[in-house]
Amino acid sequence: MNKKSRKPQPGKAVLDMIDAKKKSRKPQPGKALLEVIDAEKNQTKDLWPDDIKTIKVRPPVVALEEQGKILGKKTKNMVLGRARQLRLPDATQFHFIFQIEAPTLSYSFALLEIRYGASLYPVQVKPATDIARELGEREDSWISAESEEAFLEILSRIFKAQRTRTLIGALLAQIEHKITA
Amino acid sequence: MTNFLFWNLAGKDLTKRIRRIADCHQVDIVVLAESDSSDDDVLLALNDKPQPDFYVAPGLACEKIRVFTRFDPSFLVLVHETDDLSIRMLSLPGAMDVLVAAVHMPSKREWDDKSQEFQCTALAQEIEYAENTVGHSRTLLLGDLNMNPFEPGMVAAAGLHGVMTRELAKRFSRRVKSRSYKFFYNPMWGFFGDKEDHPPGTHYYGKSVQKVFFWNIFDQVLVRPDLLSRFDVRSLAILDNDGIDTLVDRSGRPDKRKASDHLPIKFGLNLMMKGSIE
Repeated sequence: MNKKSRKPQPGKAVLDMIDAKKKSRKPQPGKALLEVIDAEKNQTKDLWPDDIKTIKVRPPVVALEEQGKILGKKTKNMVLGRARQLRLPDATQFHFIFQIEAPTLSYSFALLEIRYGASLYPVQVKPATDIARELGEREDSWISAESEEAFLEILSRIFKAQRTRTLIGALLAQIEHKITA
Repeated sequence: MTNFLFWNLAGKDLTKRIRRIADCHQVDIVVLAESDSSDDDVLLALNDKPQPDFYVAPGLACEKIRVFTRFDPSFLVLVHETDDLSIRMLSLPGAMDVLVAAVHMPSKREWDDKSQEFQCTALAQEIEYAENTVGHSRTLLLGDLNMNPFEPGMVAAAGLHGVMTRELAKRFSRRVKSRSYKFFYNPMWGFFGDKEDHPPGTHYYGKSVQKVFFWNIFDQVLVRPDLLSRFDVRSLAILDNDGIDTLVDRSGRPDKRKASDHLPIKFGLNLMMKGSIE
């Protein structure tokens, strides 16, 4: 080892001072005392219920995404339905746009919107204006569904509307034209 | 130069006047809101000349916006639509691709200020979604926003984030609470008041209430920083005539009886790539 790199060692006077300091240090708690302190710490009560688990209600967006996949199956994935979350300043609600997409055309349109709070239901649904008109609903108004069953019923009405069929049919025709062109 | 015209027709039959403006300003893309005339009627009027050159560029899901173009409609590809928003990619030969987002937002008669603000946030996210789809942010937003450029939804970072100078917009984006928000340049700020010789707004509304602006600029064009160098700010104008007849009354306000309660706006973009012939 290089002599120059060696650390300077403390002199005798300094070592004596350290020894004196060690001797004057307060006594530390023994093992038994530490166990008592630990026990006190462990007395913090767990206020949470033992049965925290996922509730048996499907979030509306899951039901919606399932319908999107079904549309994909029906159209050989030429036309898909996808839910996309909107992040609005009103953070008290989940807000999604369900859009019909034609990936090969790089085109999409918004078919409906849904929004719901932390309790998942009721969920509110707003179809595109022309579909709302066809269904006899007020434009720009939200239709409320109190349960999943009611929600699926509203979705079914929207999916079966003539306007929805026409739009999806037009996309398929366009894709077909693109494939055969 | 590619010239654009936007006009909210307020449900009036103004087909002849659209044609006059298109001829007078050599408009290439006509975007209309509140058009109760059929596409056929508008097209017949636009093409009422020896060499018809306009086409309909049909939307699929958006009923509130109508688009007509001098270009083959295949150059104006639909990317994303909602009820009141139509986003298309304009891909002209020898020119850079741009996203053209045309919108007609809900009016102040039907929606309160807060709802309009939220809707701006939703609109900003729809535009970003389309930008992600095409892979660039050379975006132009035009239409009847039914809000003034200074309203919270128009300026908020999570809204449309429209700033009043090009110098500000050139920063491209701004971080707020660790999230980055892209800017739009909103040149319409420059049209308020009567210092210059142009209409002091696109829409007039006077009522005996405490707060009233009288003149509003609801009809706007906003440009992303990526497209700033191509935007000809001098070409931007609020039109008070169609080239032959006036669109305003004796007080200089939009003549609702003979035309629309909104004045049209027009502007140009230079999209040609270097070396290409326009």
